[in-house]
Amino acid sequence: MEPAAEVLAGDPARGEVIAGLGACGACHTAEGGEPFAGGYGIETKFGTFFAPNITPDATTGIGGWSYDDFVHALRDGRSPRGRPYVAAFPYAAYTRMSDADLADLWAYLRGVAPVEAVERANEVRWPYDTRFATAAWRTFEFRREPPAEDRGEYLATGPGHCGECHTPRNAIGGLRARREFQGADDPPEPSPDLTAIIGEGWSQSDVVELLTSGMAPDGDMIGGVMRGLVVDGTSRLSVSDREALAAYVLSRAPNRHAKPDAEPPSDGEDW
Amino acid sequence: MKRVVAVLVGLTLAGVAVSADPAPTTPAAPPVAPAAPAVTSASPPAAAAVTAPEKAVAYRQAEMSLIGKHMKATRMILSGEVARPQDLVRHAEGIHAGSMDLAALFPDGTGPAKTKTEAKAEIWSKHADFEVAVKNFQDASAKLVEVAKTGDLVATKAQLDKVGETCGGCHDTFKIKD
Repeated sequence: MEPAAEVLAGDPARGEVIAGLGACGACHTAEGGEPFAGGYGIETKFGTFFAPNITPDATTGIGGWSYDDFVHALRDGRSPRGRPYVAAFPYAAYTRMSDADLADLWAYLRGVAPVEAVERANEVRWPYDTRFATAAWRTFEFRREPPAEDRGEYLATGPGHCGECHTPRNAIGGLRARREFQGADDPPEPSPDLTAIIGEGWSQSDVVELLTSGMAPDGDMIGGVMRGLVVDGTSRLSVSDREALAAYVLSRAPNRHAKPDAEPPSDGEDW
Repeated sequence: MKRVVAVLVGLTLAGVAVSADPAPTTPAAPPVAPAAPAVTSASPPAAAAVTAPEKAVAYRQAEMSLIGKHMKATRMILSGEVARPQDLVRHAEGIHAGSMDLAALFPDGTGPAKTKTEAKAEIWSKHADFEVAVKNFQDASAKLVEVAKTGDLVATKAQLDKVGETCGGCHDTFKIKD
């Protein structure tokens, strides 16, 4: 490891929020395991993928990586040795992350407790275990895209990668763009159809509330991966970021029965 | 996904029995007899000997929904959307009241193997953990009542978040999302 050679201006506190927004731990932390030490078996129709240890342990984690290795992994989907990652690692989304967010995320991950935990080999079924399968996926499905200019779109498509869970996949694991946000049964847990939920009449402020407190319009409290994502990620974004994210999701999952947002709080004379 | 409502919306943990009696197969005690008018010949509604699982689920969904409504109302007041601080204690008490007998709403035979519910099998297979989760909710909501009575809105909001954590924490493990 190059000791203090890091000249990066990454902010670990901001990086922690990025990690929360991306729910990195949903895959990279095993149930009851040390944070980010990997080992969680992601069961898919293609086989079981074990998310690697991304703590800074020098031998079993990514302690030996340079920042360039990290960027290479997230932007190109290749290991430091040049091996392409399997599509279970949603790096297509990470190509859409800004330099600043990558630097912050890196700064944060460098600071988490290193854990010695040897990565388990993926148990992938034929033919998905072949290099042809990965090559096919990279050819047909992997696109590098620049970070979106719209803030909400950026958060949703880059670090938040909402569609990686909420959009169903095709036979080779690509996202079915025409069914964006219609929910999927894939790990780490089934995700609901946002277009249908929002179709029940969610307003912009309802979505913001969910991203802030985890409360749905009917008062239900969400659980699971999304709860962690709210607690560690979206609830710690700025209000304007949450509003932008909500506006983007609503724009992509149109609400045909939209109810107008309540009037801005007045003096209460309406009561 | 089949059901839209799923994770986000479904209030329902699933739920059931009308009576707190853990053994749903025993005939439930008749509901409190009509107090005064013993005069009329109208007999009290006959209590079903056994609560049908789907009724049990519908009932516990209704109970969960009530808790959710109080949570929602509390949140609306504390976020300043409505100026009804005088209602906070009542809502907090509603949440706490709903927490007290919650575990009893999940009798045997009302899990996902037997009926359509969003309650996970873990409620029964890890029942001790489930009871701890319910206890956390009871404690946090008791505190919410206490804090709401002080009139300190900031502290009440902080405690509401804590209550919300106990809801979500339990839903993590014990509620099906689809």
